Amino acid sequence: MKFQLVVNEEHASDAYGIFQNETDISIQRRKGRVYFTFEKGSPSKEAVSKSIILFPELEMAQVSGNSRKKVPLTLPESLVGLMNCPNPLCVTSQPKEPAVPELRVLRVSPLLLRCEYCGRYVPRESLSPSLMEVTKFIPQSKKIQTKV
Amino acid sequence: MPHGDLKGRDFITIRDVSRKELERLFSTADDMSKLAKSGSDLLKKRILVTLFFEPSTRTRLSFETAMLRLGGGYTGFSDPSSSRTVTGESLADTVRMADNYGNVIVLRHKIEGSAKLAAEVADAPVINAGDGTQHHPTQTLTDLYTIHKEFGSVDGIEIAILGDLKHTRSASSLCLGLTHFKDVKLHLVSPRELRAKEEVKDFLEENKMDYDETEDVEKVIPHVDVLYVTRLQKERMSDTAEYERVKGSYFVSSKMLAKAKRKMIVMHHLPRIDEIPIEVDYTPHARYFQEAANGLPARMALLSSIVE
Ligand SMILES: [Zn+2]
Repeated sequence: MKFQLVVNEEHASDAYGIFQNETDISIQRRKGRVYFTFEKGSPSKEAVSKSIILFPELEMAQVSGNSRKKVPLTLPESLVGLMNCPNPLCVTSQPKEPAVPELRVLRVSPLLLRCEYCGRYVPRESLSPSLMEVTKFIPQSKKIQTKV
Repeated sequence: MPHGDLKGRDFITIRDVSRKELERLFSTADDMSKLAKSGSDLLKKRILVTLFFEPSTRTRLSFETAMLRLGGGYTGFSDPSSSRTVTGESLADTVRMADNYGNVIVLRHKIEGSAKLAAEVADAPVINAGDGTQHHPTQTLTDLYTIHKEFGSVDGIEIAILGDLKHTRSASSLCLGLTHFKDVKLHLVSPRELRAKEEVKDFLEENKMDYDETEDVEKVIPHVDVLYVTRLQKERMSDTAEYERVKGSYFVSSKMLAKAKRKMIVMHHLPRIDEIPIEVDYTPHARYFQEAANGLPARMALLSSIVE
């Protein structure tokens, strides 16, 4: 059983960036789609969540020989320290303030996220790989599980 | 008199209290009205710390007076240049310092979510005196108390909120607060580009609030019990010609009020600029001065209920 993740060609390099720390990935390109197959085990939960957020066309599957079973896309209810709030006036966007970015998942498809601090929705167009780079110190008590 | 349920609790959004707790605050505010001039010693030796990173004379004076009338004292600042912006200290560190001195902290800050962070780092209860563009719960407490006093209940009222609904936190906060009540009919009246934020409208929908959006105040005036006016600022509109064209529709006049119900009230959280001319003060509808006055017993009720 192998885990497979499919994105459109235009998102291939962003997806590659997200999985750069994962090992044993094989990549195939077919008809404008890019298939990331994890030869050993699953990618981290964090990487999967980031992919679901960034790539609206994302498809996930479990493959074994010729059988391929789609995996439903799910996100945790709350994303703590996974991504930044795009609102520059949000307290979590202030480098000196110890507020860890926390987004509530209101809906997975189409994606709707709301910041727990400023209360604003995350606009679709603000989603980018750089938004996923959280530089804030995250205290142990707020850390999330990263492995599936 | 004050009750125990709210002791030690933060007041960050108007949804942090239940309807029952709000109604208890209203009746406590009725009691406090009697003490608003004579004073009391309910919060003797307690200290309120006001951290006003954004100036707001009205809200700050109202809190400080409320604390003095309850027999307590206050300290703090209202000039952002005198504190953080000079030293570069973080808000969190300033709040931790205030936490050492006070029994309650009142914060006003333009950074969105700052009150939630303050509540996380402080042991003392934190009251949000306005952060960002969504929350101003003590203004809303005052507004709902004013409506409750006027009509005996907030249930069943028809209300129009007029002006810049996108940026005005008292307007967003009032929308959230109205969802505590039953059979309220709400009209959101604003220019197209200054409509209420999706976040607020979705919240109204989730809470099954009966509301609509319009640009035409004249259409709703004959029906409403409350006309809640907010400021419409030229700087907030992308097109100044558009502002000149529409401003007449969002500035209240006594002529406009001629079609109103006899008991309709006009509210405004003040200070006003041009949106309500002095002539309206002399109509039986003006209630904004009473609303401002209600801020004192409402804040006395809140402080006496949450400060331990
Ligand atoms: Zn935010």
